[in-house]
Amino acid sequence: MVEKLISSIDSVYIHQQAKDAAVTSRILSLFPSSKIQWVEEDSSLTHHEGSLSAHTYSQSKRKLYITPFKGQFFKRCPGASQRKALTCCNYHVLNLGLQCNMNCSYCYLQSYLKTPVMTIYSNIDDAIKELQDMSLDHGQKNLRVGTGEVIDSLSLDPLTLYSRPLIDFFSRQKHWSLEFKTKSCHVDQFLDCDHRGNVIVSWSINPQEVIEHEEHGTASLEERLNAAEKSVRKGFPIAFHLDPMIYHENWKTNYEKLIQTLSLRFRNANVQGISVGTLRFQPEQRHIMRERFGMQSWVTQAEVFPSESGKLRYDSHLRTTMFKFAIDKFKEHSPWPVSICMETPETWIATYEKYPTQIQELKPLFQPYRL
Amino acid sequence: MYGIDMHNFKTLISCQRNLDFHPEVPWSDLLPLYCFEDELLCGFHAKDKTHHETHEATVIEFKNHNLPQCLKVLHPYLSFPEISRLTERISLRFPNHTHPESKEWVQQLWRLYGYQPREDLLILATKITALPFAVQQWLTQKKLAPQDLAPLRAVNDLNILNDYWEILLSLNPSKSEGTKGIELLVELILMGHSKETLNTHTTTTQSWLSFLQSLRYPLSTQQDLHAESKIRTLHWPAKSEARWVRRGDRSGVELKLFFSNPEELKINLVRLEKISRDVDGNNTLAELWSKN
Repeated sequence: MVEKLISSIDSVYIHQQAKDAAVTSRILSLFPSSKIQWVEEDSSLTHHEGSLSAHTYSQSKRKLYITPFKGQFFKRCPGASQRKALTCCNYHVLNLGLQCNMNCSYCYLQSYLKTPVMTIYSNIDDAIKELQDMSLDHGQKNLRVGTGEVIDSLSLDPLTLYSRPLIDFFSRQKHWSLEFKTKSCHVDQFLDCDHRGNVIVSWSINPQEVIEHEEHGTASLEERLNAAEKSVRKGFPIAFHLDPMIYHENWKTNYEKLIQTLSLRFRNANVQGISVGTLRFQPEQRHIMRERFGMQSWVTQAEVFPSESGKLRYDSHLRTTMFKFAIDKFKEHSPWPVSICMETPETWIATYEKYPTQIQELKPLFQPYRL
Repeated sequence: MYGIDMHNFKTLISCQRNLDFHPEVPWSDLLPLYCFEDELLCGFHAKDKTHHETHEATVIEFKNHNLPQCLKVLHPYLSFPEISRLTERISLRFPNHTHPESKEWVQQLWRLYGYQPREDLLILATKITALPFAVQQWLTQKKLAPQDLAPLRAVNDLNILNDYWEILLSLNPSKSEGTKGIELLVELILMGHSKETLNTHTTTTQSWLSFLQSLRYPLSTQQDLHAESKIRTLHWPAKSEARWVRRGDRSGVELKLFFSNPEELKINLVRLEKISRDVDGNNTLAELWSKN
């Protein structure tokens, strides 16, 4: 697993200020010295005029940069800032890096990232200190924190082992929960950690047909489900995100098969929740996607239109049909609550005939509060 | 700033014409010619004049300024195709291995003209220069910006578009229509549509775009047409106009209603209530709001 990661990275740049970090020691012990370069100034490495070209973006996934982060690690999920256009759950994100080593055609990082390297922040201790400080004021609130906003939570974890100190911190939090959201199968590195059942390991999942077509370099569905089963055996709650659902010729058959599989294999597991979302992306992202994945991709070929939030989405009727289909199938096969991710109030009404705050099982997630 | 002491004088015959990037605005015969080192910067067609006169013509050589500054003074505005051609000419005339400063010149030049010298745009510029010159001229005329031409970045060989430029040029669409048309064409070609499918005999830009749109968005087009036909079967109030319209990711009925007194309004509302009941009781109609 680690070997595969090492071979997928051509160069590792380490900032001098990260030389004493634990992650640096680990990286130095794992990578051949020929791949390591020390840097003093990060401007030449990370500065890039404007958006990245398709080529530079692809190359950035093969260049790892270890550096301390000087900003704030902890913030609200971006969906929360679009409350007028979207109905969003209360979620907070802890960013421990930037960029992902996998290659999903729809990945929103393509329209977001401006740095030509994949960055890991070396100062995990500062991130945990920030959480510690937050917990002094807000430790009594039911706070949900995720680490998978601008980097996959676990795909590089065999290199960083950041999951371990995070699990340790959350083991002392009564009301907070942590979510590792991933498309990888990397769980072995933390399964021996003591936890108090508030660390949720979640998988972004799609039918294998979609994974093969659109989620390049990710774990197969079977690998993800095996990893989920391993996590369940160690008492970790799990969650699944059918997000983004992607329309394709056999979408109904393939999604039904996936939902049946989940329901059968995890019937008795502690499944914290299911969320569903459909394909969406910023309009300008279509250009780099077209360049990187061509027009045979189900994502670039998608019939998408500008939505109120500014993103391109499927026709609203089709979205409702897809949501209803997934939710009905989950209802048929499982007891799990299903929520809709990053969607408009109209879609909630069309799908559930209710706002999420009117749905008993989902109410706690969507009840607004301030930190 | 540009006094005599800042310049040298040369003869035209001693100048090269490697930087002839075919500027759209012709250089006036009334103006003097300028050069940078031995490279002519304007009036590239001056040799078309009387042979004798031209060879004797005096050319003013810029001193103490760099190439981008001189070009900006002489050509205050350059479209993206023009700067693309100029960039190509500079790269050929001042290759990096002999003129390491040329990369910086290009970057400075782009900034002077308000273009961001981003890697993806520099790549796009090299592609633009490969387009037929008439197309480049059309792009200049319609002021298409680099972001309007972003779809071309996905095309490795722009020759695959050659069969369609004629339609574009003959229809002479507006900037926004042309931008949309280029994107649709690029996507359809990359999706594997053949020349036979894409070529259409059309006389208006709108019908051309609708045709391309229907190929690019077949499911939505089909659904919208189906919905439109269903809508027409409903008994809408007199003097009203109902049609199925798409507004971004949402589609539905747009109804225009005219009434001249409260009685007419009441009658219209009764009609509309009946339509509402018809839709509720008719699965086929209700399905308009639920697609597969």
